[in-house]
Amino acid sequence: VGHNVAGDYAVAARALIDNGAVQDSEHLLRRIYRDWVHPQTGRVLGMAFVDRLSGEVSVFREQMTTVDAVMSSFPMMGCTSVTAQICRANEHLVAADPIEDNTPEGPAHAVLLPKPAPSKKRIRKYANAIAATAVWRRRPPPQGGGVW
Amino acid sequence: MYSTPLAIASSAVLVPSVPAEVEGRHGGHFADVTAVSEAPLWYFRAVSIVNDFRDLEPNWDSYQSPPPTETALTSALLVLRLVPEVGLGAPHIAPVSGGGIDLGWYFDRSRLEVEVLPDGSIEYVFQDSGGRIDDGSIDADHVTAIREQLRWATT
Repeated sequence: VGHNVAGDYAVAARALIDNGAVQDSEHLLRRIYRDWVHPQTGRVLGMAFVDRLSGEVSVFREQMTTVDAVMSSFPMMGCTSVTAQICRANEHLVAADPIEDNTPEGPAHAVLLPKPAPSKKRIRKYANAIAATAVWRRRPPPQGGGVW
Repeated sequence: MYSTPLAIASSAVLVPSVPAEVEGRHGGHFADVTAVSEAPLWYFRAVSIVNDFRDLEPNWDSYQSPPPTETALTSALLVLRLVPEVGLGAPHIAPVSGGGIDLGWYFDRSRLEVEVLPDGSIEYVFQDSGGRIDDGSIDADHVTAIREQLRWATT
């Protein structure tokens, strides 16, 4: 079943289809900006799984790429993984979205997209639930940023 | 990386308010100000961090995000001005993909996250010590509602 949230974002979401191409058991890699980390526990925060422009959250299917490939151009970022099952259980579509950009990780690209809701407010609640299950694959280098 | 402008804290100046319409009235540029002498030191660092988001490059998140919008920056500074008066303490501040800004307070068993969206509106998620979650939205110019949400988290 396809959904989109057109009209809820500045950039209308594409009509992405979750046709099951990404299996529930698959691990999805997500690059993490240094400030998207809990200041005390070091866990990933929900904001890491939100995009307020299009709603689409990019991830990479680990079974089709590697952490090194996903991180090769972004040494200052961290990397976590979540399962497709958790994303679906928290009101997100999981759609394969391969990119032909001649990068090793391009074919592994996939998108998480929040299902339509009465308003955007629920998005953050579900993003927090997804983030709570995220497992570090590579922590970002220690920085100052928004943490003190 | 960020420095606290301690020198400013001892000077007799005021932090100018956001020149926005506040709950249906135009307050003017200095109608709602925070006296520097009364503001905690973390406040200056927080303002500095928010202002520094203007310097974020496009693609700062590696996913083609633009930096926070000017509207989001204005709203985030407005929320920050309300924090000292409710005694909530220093927030964790971070940019959000798509042009927003997140202000978060994390306690042992509860948390409040106030996310300023690119259009300046506010979304919050409050999780209390019992694990109950309350979330909602507030228009950026509803100062009273924002203040009450912040105050609630302190209780």
